[in-house]
Amino acid sequence: MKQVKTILKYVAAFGLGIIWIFPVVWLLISSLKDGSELFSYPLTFWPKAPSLANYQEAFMQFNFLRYTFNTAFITVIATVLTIIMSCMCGYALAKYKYKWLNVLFFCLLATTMLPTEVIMRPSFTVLYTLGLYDSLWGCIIPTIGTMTGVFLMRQFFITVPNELIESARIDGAHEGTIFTRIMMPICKSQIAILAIFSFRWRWNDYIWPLLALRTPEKYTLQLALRTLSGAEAVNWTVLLAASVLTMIPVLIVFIIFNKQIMNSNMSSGVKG
Amino acid sequence: MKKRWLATAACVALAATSILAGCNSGSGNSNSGGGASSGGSGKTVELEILISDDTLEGGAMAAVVAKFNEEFKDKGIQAKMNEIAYADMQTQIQNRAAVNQLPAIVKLSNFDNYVDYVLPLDDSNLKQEDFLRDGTRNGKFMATSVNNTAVGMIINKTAFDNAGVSYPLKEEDRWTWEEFEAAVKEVVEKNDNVNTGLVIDHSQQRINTILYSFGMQIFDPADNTRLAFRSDDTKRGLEFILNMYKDGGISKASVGVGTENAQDVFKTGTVAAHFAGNWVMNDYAENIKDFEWCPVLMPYETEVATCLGGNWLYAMDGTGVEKEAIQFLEWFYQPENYTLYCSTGNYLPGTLGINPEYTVEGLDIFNMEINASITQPQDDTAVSNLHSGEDWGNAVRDAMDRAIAGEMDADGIMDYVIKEQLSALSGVHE
Amino acid sequence: MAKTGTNVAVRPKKKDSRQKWALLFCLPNILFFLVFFVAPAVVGIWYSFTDYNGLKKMNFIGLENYITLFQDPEFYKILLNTAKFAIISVPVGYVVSLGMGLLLASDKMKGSSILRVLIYWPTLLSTIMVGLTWKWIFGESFGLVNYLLEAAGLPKIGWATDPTAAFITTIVAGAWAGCGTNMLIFIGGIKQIPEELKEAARIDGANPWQIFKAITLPHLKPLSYMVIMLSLIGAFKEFAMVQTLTNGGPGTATTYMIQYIYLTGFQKLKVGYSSAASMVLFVLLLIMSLVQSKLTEEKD
Repeated sequence: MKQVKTILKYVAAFGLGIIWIFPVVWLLISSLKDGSELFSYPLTFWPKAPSLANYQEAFMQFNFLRYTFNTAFITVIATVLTIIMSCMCGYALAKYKYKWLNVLFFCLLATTMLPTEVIMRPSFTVLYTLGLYDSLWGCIIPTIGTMTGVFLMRQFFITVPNELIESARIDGAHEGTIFTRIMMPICKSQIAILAIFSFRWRWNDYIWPLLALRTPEKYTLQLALRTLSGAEAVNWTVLLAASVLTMIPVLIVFIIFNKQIMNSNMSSGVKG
Repeated sequence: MKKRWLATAACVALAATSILAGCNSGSGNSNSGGGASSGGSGKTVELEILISDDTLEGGAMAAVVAKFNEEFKDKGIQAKMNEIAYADMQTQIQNRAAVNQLPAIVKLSNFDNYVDYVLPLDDSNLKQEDFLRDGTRNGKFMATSVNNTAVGMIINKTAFDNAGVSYPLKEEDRWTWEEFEAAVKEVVEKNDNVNTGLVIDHSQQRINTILYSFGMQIFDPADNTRLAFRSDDTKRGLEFILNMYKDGGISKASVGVGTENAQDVFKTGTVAAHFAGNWVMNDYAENIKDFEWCPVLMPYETEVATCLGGNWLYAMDGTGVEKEAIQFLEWFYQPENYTLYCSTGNYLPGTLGINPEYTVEGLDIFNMEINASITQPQDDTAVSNLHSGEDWGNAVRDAMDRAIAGEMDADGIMDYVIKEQLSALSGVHE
Repeated sequence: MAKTGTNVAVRPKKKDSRQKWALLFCLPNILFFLVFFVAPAVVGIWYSFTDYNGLKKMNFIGLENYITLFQDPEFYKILLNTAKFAIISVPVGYVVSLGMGLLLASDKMKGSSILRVLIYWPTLLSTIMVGLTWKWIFGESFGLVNYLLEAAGLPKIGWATDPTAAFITTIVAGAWAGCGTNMLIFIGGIKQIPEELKEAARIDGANPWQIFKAITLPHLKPLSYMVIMLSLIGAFKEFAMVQTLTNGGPGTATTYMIQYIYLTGFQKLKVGYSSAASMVLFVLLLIMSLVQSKLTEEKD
């Protein structure tokens, strides 16, 4: 009986995995087809003559190195800052009980309700006033106060037993030490999750780069990718190949931090 | 533990260097349109050309800019392309206008929205008379029509030949819409792999072209303040189009509502004809290998009509490099350079008197269409130009979307369009 | 602190210093909130009372934008579309991502690490790529699903022309792209549940379903609240993916709020009008989340 159940579980999990990944696989396969085969009907599953020509073309059209550097710069710095700020604020919101903290929580929640797409113009005005226009920092600074990050950390810290803090206080530790020495280490898996998220947000972001940048040397991968969809035509072959390429760094980051999530375990933190 | 310290140190170092780098570049040129960077041999002015779609269309501007930079190497001007996405053009121009950092030169399908910021070309040696489309607003020559686009019909030649159906390449063979319907139906019937008669681009220009052939007018030629869209001719045209999308009709609703791209669907080879614009030919030449295709003359009803559109090349005011920008434009339209531009991108020229050689065949059909067309589309454009900056958007296309989805009928489309026009344009009436 | 504060003798001075620490922890976020949210929002409110076109024209016109908005029948239709999308996509997304989280949280399961990568992968795509990817699957003329249906001798489905089918494509693509994120949050949460609790329950003879109901689900409550809240707000903000996938069609069947704001405002150069619509959306979302918080609090 137990064996049957385990087998069922595996079948369900792998079935789901295959369904889930299939569209991406289809994208990968399509990126190996030439422009004519891409749209030929009846469809061909496996390319008749798989080739990396599209990738070659993508490398020729774009200054990949430059754009990747810009994007990586924005992403890494923004992610580090996002994690620090979100941990601090999330911890305060979860573990201190003052009226103004509730108000702050709602204020922060409100920020998710006015997406940048609909207030692009005012956001640009602020950006420019702060002197961040046409600088990579213009894509970093406005994004690091993210509510989702704060929310994630707050909801996690709520589940941390208060006793942990109290006993430290009795031992005479002051609040800053409690946060850095006791709290930060036990939220490793949450930090890893937030790192994955933040990395993806910034890597795929195009709104802030669009608002903040105007010099070609500072453009990011997403801005460059967008140039492939023109007024009337779309350069499908290059778009597919370039999209696959831009996905790779985020995938690597995910795999690294995925290990972090799995290896951390709060109960050990509590005991220690 | 050691690892973490290393990572932190790396981050800090990265941050520090980038702050320095950021400051460096930030404090530099405050002027955007160009900027004088003092090199050893005197100063060079940098001309920024903001453009979209150039790589996609074969890199014509890039070729011309390379030539310019070679010729002006020692004359203190260097042009630099800034290619961005078509969808981002509006945001970037608006934002840069707000902070007075406009590019020196822009190539775009629209300049009316930014007409307050465009540099008039009256003092240059460029003359409006040399250009095919009117770039004059409020009595000033503002923008040059850098290339023209015309609406036309492209057919799946292989499928037509298979079915033994003939197609018009000469004026006297031109189909009526009814004959065209019969022709594509026959092609679909006689080809196993062809299941759709016609795909029409999700575009107002395409829909208007059909409507013009039914006698539609947007403005009354006798009184240019009267909106003339609501008429029996328009209604007949609209109903004809809507019938194409109904069950048993020749066209494909998934394309008509804008979800699927006509160009992509035509490339599958399952479609007899594509009601398109001349620019798709570059893409087709490169990406269709399974069958042959060719442009043919469009069907007509009461009139022969095509809509002329295209891109504008214009200089911006207040950039500090206006003189050099005009110099570039004057150089650009010298026959030799302009011919290079048109033949590299397979563009229909926006001026008379040059004869570019094209790498794709059949573009002359589009010139025939332009010459055969009635003047109503041009007249309507001229009236629209008087309302520079008052954009009634894509009301016809948006209404057609809703009608194909069954949300309104031909009368509803006319109501919708008139309502949009009345709210956007000043001083007009029905 | 209210609960545990009694254990420790707290002197007023200590308390004050704690409040200072709390403020210090929140200070960066407060600053960013003021600069990058309040400031643009105030400017946006000002725009909503003008006929600003994004360039030079800007006249104060009072409430005209709001009046036009509330008199536009299309606005209500699109609001309804959006609500429908949210009501269906949020529970679907929650159940699927929680299920996947439960399935893949255990280290004992072989290959769970690879499966996590597979399921998380789609979220690495930009929203536009998600739309494009599904276009290849759900394309009416050259999509894979219709091709397979045709090959099996079944009628094709009008993914682009049938409003219901188009609606389903937006739900599927939305769930596909969003679930990896929430799954990860749940896995993180499940990993934090002390194994001893479950072990004790198992010894007491509880079956997996009872363990799930009595231990796992309550433990995941803070995270569930967050996931539902953010998904709900996210559903109301869905934009780029749907724009690419269905273009809001057929007609206006899958046009949702942000797309409406973007198209009417941005494309038609009515920045003032679009600001008014944004403010209305903002207020609606604010009310919604206040109600949801109240409900959650009452349950506690």
